[in-house]
Amino acid sequence: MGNIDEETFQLFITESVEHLLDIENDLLAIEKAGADIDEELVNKVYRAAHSIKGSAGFMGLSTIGALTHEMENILGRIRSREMIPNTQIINVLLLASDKLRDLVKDPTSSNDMDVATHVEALKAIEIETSVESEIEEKKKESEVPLQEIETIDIKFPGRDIIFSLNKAELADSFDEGKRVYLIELDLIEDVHRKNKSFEGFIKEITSTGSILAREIDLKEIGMLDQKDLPSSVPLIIVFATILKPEDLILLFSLNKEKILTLGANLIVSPLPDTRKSKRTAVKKAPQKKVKMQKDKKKLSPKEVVMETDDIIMAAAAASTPETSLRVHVSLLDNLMTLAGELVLSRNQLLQSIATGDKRISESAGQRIDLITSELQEAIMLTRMQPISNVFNKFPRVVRDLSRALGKEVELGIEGREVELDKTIIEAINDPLTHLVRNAVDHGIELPDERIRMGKNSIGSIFLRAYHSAGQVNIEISDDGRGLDGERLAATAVSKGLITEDQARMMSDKEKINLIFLPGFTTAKEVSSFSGRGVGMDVVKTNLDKLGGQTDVESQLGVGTSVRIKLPLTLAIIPSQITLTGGERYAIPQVNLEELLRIPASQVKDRIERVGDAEVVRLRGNLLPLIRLTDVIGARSVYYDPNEKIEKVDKRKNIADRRSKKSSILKNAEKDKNEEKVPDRNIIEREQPDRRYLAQSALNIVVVSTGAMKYGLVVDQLCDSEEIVVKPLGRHLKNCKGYAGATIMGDGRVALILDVGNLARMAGLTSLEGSDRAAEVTRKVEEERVIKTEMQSLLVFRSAVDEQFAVPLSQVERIEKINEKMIEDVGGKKVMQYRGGSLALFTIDQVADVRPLASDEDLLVIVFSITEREIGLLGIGPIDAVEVSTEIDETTLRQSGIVGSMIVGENTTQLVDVYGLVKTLNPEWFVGKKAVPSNKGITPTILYAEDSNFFRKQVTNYMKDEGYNVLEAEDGLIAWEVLQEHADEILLVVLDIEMPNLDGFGLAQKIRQDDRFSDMPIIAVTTLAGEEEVARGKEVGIDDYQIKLDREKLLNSIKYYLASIIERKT
Amino acid sequence: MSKPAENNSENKIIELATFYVGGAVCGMDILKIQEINKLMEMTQVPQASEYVMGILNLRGQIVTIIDLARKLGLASTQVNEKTRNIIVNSKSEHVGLLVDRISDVIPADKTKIEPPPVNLGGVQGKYFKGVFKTSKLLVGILEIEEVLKADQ
Repeated sequence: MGNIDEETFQLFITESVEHLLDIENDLLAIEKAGADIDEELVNKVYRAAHSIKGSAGFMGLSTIGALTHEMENILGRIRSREMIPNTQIINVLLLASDKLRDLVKDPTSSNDMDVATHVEALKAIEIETSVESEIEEKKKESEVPLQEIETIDIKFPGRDIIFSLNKAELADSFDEGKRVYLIELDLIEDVHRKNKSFEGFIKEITSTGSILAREIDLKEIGMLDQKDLPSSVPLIIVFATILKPEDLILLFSLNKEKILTLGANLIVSPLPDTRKSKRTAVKKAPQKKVKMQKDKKKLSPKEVVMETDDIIMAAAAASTPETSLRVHVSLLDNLMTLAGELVLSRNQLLQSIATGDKRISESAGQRIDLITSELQEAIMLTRMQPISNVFNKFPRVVRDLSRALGKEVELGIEGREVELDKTIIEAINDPLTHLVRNAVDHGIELPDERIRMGKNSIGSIFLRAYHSAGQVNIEISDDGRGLDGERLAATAVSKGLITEDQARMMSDKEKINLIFLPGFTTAKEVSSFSGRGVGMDVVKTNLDKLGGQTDVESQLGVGTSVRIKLPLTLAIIPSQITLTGGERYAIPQVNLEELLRIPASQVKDRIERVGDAEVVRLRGNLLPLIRLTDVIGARSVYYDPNEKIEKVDKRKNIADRRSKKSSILKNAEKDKNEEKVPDRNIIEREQPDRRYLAQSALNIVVVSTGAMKYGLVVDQLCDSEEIVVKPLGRHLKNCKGYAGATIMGDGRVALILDVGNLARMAGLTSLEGSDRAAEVTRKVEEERVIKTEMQSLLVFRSAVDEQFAVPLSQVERIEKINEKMIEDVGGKKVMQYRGGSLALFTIDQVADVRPLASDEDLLVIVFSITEREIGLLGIGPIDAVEVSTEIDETTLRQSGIVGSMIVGENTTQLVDVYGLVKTLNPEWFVGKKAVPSNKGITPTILYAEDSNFFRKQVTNYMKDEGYNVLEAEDGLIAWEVLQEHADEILLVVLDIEMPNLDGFGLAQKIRQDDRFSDMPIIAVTTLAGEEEVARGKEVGIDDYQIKLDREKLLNSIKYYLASIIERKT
Repeated sequence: MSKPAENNSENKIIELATFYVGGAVCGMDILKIQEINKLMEMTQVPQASEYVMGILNLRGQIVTIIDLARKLGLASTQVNEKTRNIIVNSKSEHVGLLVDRISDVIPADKTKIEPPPVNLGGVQGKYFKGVFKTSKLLVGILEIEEVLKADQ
């Protein structure tokens, strides 16, 4: 072996591994096909084994040779249909190919490895199948007389003998994979001369096959009265055996010419030349045999466990990273071209620098920029590998595991062609294997159980990979028993991982996500319930490391689906650059949810303290906050506007002294904390409080890692950039907060933050986060109910010193126009707009306000009313604001103005656009009152709303539309009203935030009552977040509308009324 | 001079790059040095060990800079116009050693290198593999792999 160089070895390894990869899947396909053998496929595997054997022989790798030889034998017999591939056979072959892979990977020591068990197993199959066929044959023989005997006549070519064969017997022989030969023996030559007795000879033959018929050619012997003894006594037998012609010749030392084969088509033909021939097809599979073997090989549970472990081991072992990679030549050509261009541009650049020609160097710089990005892309492509490299291993895993567990599972794979970076492909192998294994082990039920549950007895697992939003999504879904959130929570509580209080406050999704909790549970303990969770935390950690996000969805009894989002590559990642303590830190965009800047003046309202943790209020939810400076111990700096230098920020708490402190839960603990934080700022400050300057705004990067979401407080937010990840040296390996470093445009180094680890370092686990949030959310909810709701308004002016507002949700667009564009036609103002004319109004046309300022630059606020667009003229400055102040609906009320409020120290009048248009163009609204009526009775609507202003507004326009409206100030009152007028009320419009009983609660109550189960419920809110909508759908709310969007709300009411009336009549 | 003798003398002499660390003169085999620079635009790494000065961009590679004085247990180096980074390549990674200033390169006869004084034990002792005496001064020869090991 010494004379074989390393390169040849490498070649052998790569080639063999490739062959082996195919072998596995092909074997599985062969198994699936069963007796319906696809010769091409078998041939392919045969050739693969053969070529490995060939090269192994050449290199003196005898062990590999021996193993492949045995595999080849079996495959040869399958190919020649002497053997029907069943699960047992394929299993042995698969195991052998596994072993072969190990051997091939380390060819130098392969000769010392022991393959005896595999070789024996392979040999055993050969023997076993022969023995079995004999047993069955004997059985058949005894059965024959019972059957009606049909015969077939076969004529031996060149002789007058005609055999009458039992058709059934013949067919059976074929079915068992036997071949039928017509053999011409010479009793004198072959028997007598070899000192055998006739009887012994027959016995000898029947030990290897069965004689279906025999006849002596009497004609050949001649007449007895002839003088010479006959030189030959030809005995012709029809012989059915599994032996190959070669063996037959050997066994009886027969002449090849004297053997003829009988095909299944009953055509007699001479023996073909050795094994290259193609044999005729065997049509029917011996079902019985396969079954028999299955029964025989039923494994005891202990063996099953062992085997599953082996499978996992095998799958894990298969994940050794490859060191070489196949790249398409066209890609390399492309790289070469780019490299050439790069060189040219560099020459150009150098020349231009030498001559000092700025223009040329600029253009060269641009070209280099372009080429570099193309080069980057091309190099990235060389690293891209199809995900099938991982997926292709799963049919085997699923097959082996499901068989071992006695389950029936079908695996569907979609998106094999999706490409991912090589490193990611390698890294996802283990986590995916784990997930697939879990799906088979814990997800899919046993066949009986599935049938009991009314499911198909064959479970299905579906693997899907697809691109979406620059990321690769991988989904693993099964239709198994699903996860039981309650049980998971109970287990977590019993294990002391969470408290009962925490469990109570968790949403279903959070409960399901408990399986990701480290130390949650081990396989055995959970299998007895309905969960999975074998090292799911490990799976998640591994995927997190890749910048992946994991999400589980599960429905009890229906199935589980795990979705993984992965970046395409790890080398270059888009990131958000932030500044803390004068140093830049990059936060990978995959972790980035949003950027939040809390103006200094709002800090006291939005940052709260719970215990010793700080949280920020974000759209009604609370988000735990972590200060980057605290976690990694950097200094925080701020810009002191008085001394005009940067100073070290000494604030210990972000939350203002005046911030609210949550008083729920852990009261005693909280008091202690309060003592611990002494009030340092009692001294009166002479200068204006810094807290109200723009520089003290709080910059928060909202990041998420899987189930965890938190806010990272940084000093400053900078740009987002694409950064190249570089590893950190070994001296910094213990700094867990960083994922690496990168070089910024100015040549300095910036650290890349690992947000997952930062959270861990700050002692923030997902549960703690959600616990903390849940705790405070409750309180916030309570407060919100009392407080007036936030309303989004568009503020503008008509006259310079008069401020107006319209609900932002009603505004379609805002256009800036020149005064000259306005035309006066027929006493009405119009302008050309999008190919038509847009009717224009001013507020002073209706309301008694100052006239529109005569300005050249005007604003047109476009609304859509009664399916027409109208424009309201105004002037700047415009602004979108969120106000929570109470709307005063009496003081300044007049036609066209519904009320007033204070926005930014200005009294602002809220314009009633609808009323405005109606006053000016009442004809637009004629014939619009197509209210669906219930047998001539005006439909009655119940409207629950706590705010007086909105209640009046919405009630008015519902009444305008011609409905009867019953009002209620809160959920409880609404419920009482509904009870009273159960027969009248056809539809409920409700507000979500209400005291005593909120909209969700009311909706739930209504749905639970049989009388109102199909009552349409429309929720009106000021802002409908997705979560809210989802929650609303859950409790039975049919539709969501924005409060002041009259048009849409009325349309919705009309739609639902029409459908309910239709249903009632 | 015969050839074997020449070879012998070549093997015997090593060139020591010497530099000042916290007032003392230290030296190391010049062949182990990749380059010496005065890049001081370091990025600090909060949380890292105290002897890590920061990280540096050396032509596209991230280099960790170690304050050699700190590592040897002396007071930390004050960065001024004389401080230099000695970049060494170890275990396929570049590491920079920050020193007070660079001094001469001196040839040293291997056989004349004496073991470190016994009283230089403890933490410091393991960082030196010997001392070399010139006519003017005493050079402590660093055990560079030991210096480059990360503290646990």
